[in-house]
Amino acid sequence: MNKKRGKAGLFFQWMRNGIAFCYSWLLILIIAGGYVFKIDMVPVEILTKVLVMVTGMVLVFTIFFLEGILKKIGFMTRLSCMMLIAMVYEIVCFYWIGIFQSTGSFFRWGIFLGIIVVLYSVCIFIYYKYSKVKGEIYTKNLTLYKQSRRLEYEQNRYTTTTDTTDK
Amino acid sequence: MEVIIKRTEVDRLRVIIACKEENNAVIKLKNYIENYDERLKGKSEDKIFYVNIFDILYVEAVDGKTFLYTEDNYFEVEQRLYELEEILDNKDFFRNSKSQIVNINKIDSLKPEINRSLTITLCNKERLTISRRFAKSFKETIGVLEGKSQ
Repeated sequence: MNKKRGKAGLFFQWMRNGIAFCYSWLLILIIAGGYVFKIDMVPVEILTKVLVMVTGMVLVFTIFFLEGILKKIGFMTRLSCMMLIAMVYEIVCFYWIGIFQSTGSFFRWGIFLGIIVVLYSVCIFIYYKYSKVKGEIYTKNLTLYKQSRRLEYEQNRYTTTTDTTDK
Repeated sequence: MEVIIKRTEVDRLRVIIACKEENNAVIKLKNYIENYDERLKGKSEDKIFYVNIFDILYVEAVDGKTFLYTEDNYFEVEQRLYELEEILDNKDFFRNSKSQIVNINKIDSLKPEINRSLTITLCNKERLTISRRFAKSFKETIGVLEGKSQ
């Protein structure tokens, strides 16, 4: 029961942190964009739609990456599935918000897909680096294990017990 | 089980298992005693060798035959892989895939792969893989994951 509650708590914690982080960054980008393109105000409707988009994206991320939800899936499958779902969701949201209009041009779709591919590659690169660090931790643990085994062996070698029953 | 130690004039150590029937427990005990001197009988180029267990890098089953690999040689052994798995101490030897058992003490480094398997580099720089199926249990053994470690 406690474990379930703990997982639910962690789920909401991830959602809260994810939404706060992504929404803050998007707001900063919107403000920066407004400053560059001399746009004085941002409609509340856009901000609400962005919040909905961010919530959906964070939900997809949490489902795929929070430990214990999808147990038997490897990192690559998680990342690929998340990217695909997120991409479709983003396209829908972009049309809804008004960032994408009409069918668009080949060039614009190219930029969009390029960003996704770059993000995908960055994720793999980060995971590769993270695996390297994890490898060092595993090797360190292995060395400690080997040392403990050697010690145990040495102890067993010199302390022999003689159990003699004379019948 | 009753353990009796008798002192005799004979130099050679002799172990007799007295039992009513030769069941699994007795066979296991026999195997254990036979391997007490920590050597395994192996064949290389039609010559018989006794390989010290501590020299084994890994054991592999290939086409129904079982081979022991040391740093500079390999030997064919009579036992099947599952029999060796029973004989070898599971604190020192680990089943890393369906066809291999690796000597943990001979592993130099570990690297997690993107598909959740682990690549191990042995002391002779040879690389083996701990498949996804066995990786979790290996991590528990060396104490990386909490669980039934050590």
